[in-house]
Amino acid sequence: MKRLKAIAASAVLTAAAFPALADTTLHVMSWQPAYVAGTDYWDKTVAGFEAENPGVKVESNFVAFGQYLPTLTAMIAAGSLPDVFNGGTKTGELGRSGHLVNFKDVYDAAFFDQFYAGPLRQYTFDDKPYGLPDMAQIFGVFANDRIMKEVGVEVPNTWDELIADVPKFKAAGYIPLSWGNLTRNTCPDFFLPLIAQYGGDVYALDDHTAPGLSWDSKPVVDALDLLQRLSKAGVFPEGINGIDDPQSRQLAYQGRAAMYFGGSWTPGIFAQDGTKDWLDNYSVHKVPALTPDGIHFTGDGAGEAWSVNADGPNKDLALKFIAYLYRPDVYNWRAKGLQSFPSMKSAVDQIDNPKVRTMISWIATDSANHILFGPGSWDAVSNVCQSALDGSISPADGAKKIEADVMAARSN
Amino acid sequence: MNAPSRLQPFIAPGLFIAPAAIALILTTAVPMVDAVLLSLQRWNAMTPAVWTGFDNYVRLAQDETFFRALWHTFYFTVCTVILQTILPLLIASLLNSGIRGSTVFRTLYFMPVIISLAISGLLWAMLFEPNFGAINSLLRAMGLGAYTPLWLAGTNSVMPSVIIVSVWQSLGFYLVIFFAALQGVPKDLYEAATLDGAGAWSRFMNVTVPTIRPVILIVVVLNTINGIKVFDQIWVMTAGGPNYASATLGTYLYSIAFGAMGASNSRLGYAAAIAIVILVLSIVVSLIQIRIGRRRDLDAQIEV
Repeated sequence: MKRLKAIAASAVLTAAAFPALADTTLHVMSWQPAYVAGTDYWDKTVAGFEAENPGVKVESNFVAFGQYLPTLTAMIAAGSLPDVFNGGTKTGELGRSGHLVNFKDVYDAAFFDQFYAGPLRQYTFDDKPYGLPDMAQIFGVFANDRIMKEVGVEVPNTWDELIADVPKFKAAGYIPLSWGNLTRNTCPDFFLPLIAQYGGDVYALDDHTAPGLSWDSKPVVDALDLLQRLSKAGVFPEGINGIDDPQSRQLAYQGRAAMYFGGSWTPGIFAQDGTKDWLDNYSVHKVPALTPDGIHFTGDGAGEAWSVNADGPNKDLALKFIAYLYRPDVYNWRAKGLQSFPSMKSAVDQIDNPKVRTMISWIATDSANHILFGPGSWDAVSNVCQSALDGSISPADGAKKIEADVMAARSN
Repeated sequence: MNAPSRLQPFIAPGLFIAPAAIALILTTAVPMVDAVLLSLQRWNAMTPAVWTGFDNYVRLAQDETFFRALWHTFYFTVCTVILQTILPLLIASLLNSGIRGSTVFRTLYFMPVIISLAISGLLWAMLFEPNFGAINSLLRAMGLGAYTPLWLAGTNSVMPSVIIVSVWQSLGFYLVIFFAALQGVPKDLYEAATLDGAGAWSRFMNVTVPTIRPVILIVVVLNTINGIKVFDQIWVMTAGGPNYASATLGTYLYSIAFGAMGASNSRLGYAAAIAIVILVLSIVVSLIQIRIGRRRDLDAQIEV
């Protein structure tokens, strides 16, 4: 009787467990609009994994960037994180609180060597990589060569040259350098590498644990001062805090601006919606430096990095999916499809656009952090950035305010 | 009468009310109590919540940005209550006076109401763009290039700009309410006033306004509540910027709770404290308005 009971119990358990094993859904979430059903290389990626893992279904969920972090916050609060997802700027806090897998526990050094250092560094906290960069990025200045020739100036090598050229641009009716800061996330992209140009360490500032290091230190004040001098000199569009990215690109497309500040993903956007004049005439250059022989520190890193939910029911499968996503042959499909800066060195050959390849070549020498992960850092910097641009705060007061706001956020 | 028979009259109504009451308790009362409890804790959603008592409220009392947001909310509410009550009332009176094309005008005024707040916010952000936006381009074409504001980009111009959008969007809605109310004003009252020598303005102030006072009160209360909890349009157009120059209690709460374009930390307990302040403000202001309205109605009845 006992034996019969045992057989019956194991049959029930097997019946209960078998459908779960045979029909597992892996929940994937990102803000990359191409990573959805209907994009050939993503379909190929998903189909490949499903074929290698019978009974597994990959569910790809896209959430627009503007709503992504609020959605993620709600999921964290509800304890319902997806299996694989972009942690964005919450990666550090999520990892430190134990919700993300530390990839160092899973993959060996050779795996990490495949990535460019900067983008991987960005998602490594306390020496633990909680995110793996999907596509990398680096910023530069895109110039309309036709306008530059008409105005009679070269693309500036230093910030002082740029300021000195402003009257020539203005006299010819052009905005020297276009970008928009309505959504507040572009100013940190522009400003944070300036801190590196002045010798500051943005990673350390963001971490904010080194003794004596604070946001009101000299490199930050100097960088805010430079940002404000550029703004006051008329380098940027009027009302830059009221212009969003697409509008600032239009200024370049419509021949109203001589140059445009943007990331390595923008050539892909130019190809989709740029005017013929812009596409025929634009070239890409490093952002200016402080001195003629100075380093042109510019933002590098990765906006999107894949993380794995450490508390999820499909953790092992999710790690298998990550290993699959970064298999060079599989990664190449995405790199080829997106034509953006790949985070894996082996995929550079997949990039056809020579301008993107030029930008990729800068990562070894000119990269600097431009994304903040620490509690309160991003809000504090982006708000003071806006004030520096509209001249409503002095550089010294701005730096003090960043420090005060970061400390207030971390104490609450 | 014993206890069960005393309860008898309430059983049937109670059973009818129960489903709605249970739904209301589950969807409104429970989250509200939960929000009150959350406002007494520190919680970033990632680590366990820590009970902090009234610490969040003490911090709010010292938070400069919170008071800026409170002031902007007050500014927005007062301006929109005045503009979104007086303008629709005047226009509805005009349309009710029998002018030609009244239906066409009503339709035109109502059209912005059917556009979602997010879409209208995006459209107006394009119109307000300082360099090539339609409004500044028009001003430049008229030779007024020296007077082109920065609109959403200027710390002084951003609040008037969002108020303009709010009035544009809401005018038609309140106009329809007033128009419907005006249709119910007996014509003989106007005739009697006219016979007594009252002019148009006098008829408006002494006949129209007192007769539709309850509707005016409803419009004022609706505008006040909408003003206190304003969020979507401002978030879409400015996200509360530049540098909190258009932050309202709603946008500040959202940025504290969820972040948006890059903020890394959620302060859900602090955000809940802001939410409770908004709730209390809405209740207090609405009660005051309703009480004032009732007193005036009472006064009017006494006069009659």
